[in-house]
Amino acid sequence: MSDIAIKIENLSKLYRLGEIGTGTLSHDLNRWFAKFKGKDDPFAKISRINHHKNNKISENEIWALKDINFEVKKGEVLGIIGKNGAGKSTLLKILSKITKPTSGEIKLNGKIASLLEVGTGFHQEMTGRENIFLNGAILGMTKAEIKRKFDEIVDFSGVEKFIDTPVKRYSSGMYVRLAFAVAAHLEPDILIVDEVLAVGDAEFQKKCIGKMKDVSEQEGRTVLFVSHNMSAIQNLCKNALLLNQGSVEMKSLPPK
Amino acid sequence: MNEHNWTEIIKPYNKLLDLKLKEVWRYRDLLRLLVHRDFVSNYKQTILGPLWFFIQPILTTIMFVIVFGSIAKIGTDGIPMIVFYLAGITLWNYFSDCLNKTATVFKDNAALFGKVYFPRLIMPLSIIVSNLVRLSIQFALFLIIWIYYVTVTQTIQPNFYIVFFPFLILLMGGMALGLGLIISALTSKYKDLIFLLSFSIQLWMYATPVIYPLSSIPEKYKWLINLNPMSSIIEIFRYGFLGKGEFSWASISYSILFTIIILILGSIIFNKVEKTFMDTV
Repeated sequence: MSDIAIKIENLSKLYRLGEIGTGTLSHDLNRWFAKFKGKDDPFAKISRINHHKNNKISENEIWALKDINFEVKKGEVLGIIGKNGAGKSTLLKILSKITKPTSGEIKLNGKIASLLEVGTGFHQEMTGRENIFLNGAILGMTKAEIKRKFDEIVDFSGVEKFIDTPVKRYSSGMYVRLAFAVAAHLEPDILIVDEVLAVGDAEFQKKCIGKMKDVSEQEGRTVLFVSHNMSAIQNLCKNALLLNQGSVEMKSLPPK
Repeated sequence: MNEHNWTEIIKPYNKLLDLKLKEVWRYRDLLRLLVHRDFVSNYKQTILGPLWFFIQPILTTIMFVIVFGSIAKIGTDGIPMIVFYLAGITLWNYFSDCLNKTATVFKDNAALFGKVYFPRLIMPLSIIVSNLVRLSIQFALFLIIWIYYVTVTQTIQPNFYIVFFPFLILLMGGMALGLGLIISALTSKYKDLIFLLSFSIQLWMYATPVIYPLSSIPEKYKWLINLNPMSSIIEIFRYGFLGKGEFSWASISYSILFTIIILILGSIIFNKVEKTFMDTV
């Protein structure tokens, strides 16, 4: 049994800049036509990125991630830090299978769940109760699992009084608390958390950090935690991954 | 360290027809909840609530009776107008709602798809299922009126071909799903198509024997209507329930073949687009 939860090998992601909508139809038609005639793709630099490793990309493209390699051990809480636009979100999006990498591979050991934005899939018109089920299912839980944890979720969120009220009547704090509560009760082997602590009051933030600590230390789950909040990162993680313009650097953090 | 122990590997490219049906099955609760959401959210804060399911086809039928039956005087093959139009509307609504919704599934769910992963196929499937539920409610309305005409006025004679009904529904669902998947892939990139879509579906209705019987079309142009894979479905439905219509094994085989091809094609295209559509939508 290996003790590596995530292994990332030569991962790259290329994005096109500018307006994607304009000119794509003519590009596409050109490409099809060339293929039809058996010629090379005239826009090969866009679609066949695999075959050119030597950084030659046109002006309107950008490597959001470039040849990234790293491993995460089971049960580790790894912080991911970096400036805006350093590629954090892209990395998380690829990890959570929202978009595909341009090249490279990610090997995973265990079920993965991501919390890129709490409250995803909440429906304004539906009650807190209905939304717990819907959101839980969107995040990958079965109905039976949600039923089992329902009381715990409601308890954690602290909105039991409003559980049968449509969530559009909730305050934003209540909304986020309920959403985080659902997500926190997922039982993935790998949990990806992106900037969820920016909302909610201090007490709730403390609760969240505590929950994440529990999840990793007691239940042995792996957590990837993205934040700009350095004190939260230092509080939770031994190591952090510093992303800078698409490349990574592993740093160990001094205990606080 | 055992290198072969990975539970999942994320790669830039997938197999052509890898539909991940196993995963779809694992997410079946989500499908159920999405269907539930569709119903609950549609009729929250309305007074009449689910009654709207009935009001829509009734109003359309009345309109068709007035416009096509009384003013334009398009024949109905001797079938009472109300039940004739209601039959066509009930079936066509199912098809067009399925198609309309699945065709914009990427665009409508971009916010959700961009934040969390689940098998994308769940979304179009949930659309088909929730329209199926709606259809069964509207079909109940049709049955009530149909029973009245069969037993009280005895103006229509149904026949054995009624047993084809579930199969016709399956066929329509499959066709709408397949087409919807193809169009959804295109609308995620070329937004122009969205404007064309509802217009095309409307036109398509007129090219299908919904408001007229196939028998009223001159022999010369019949092949044109028969090219439309929806034609035989509506005709067989009416033949079974209302006793008037055209049934041929050739035309139904054509519709079946069309549906199968469209479904395979749609799956391939959907599968290809779902991986990177977040970068282009």
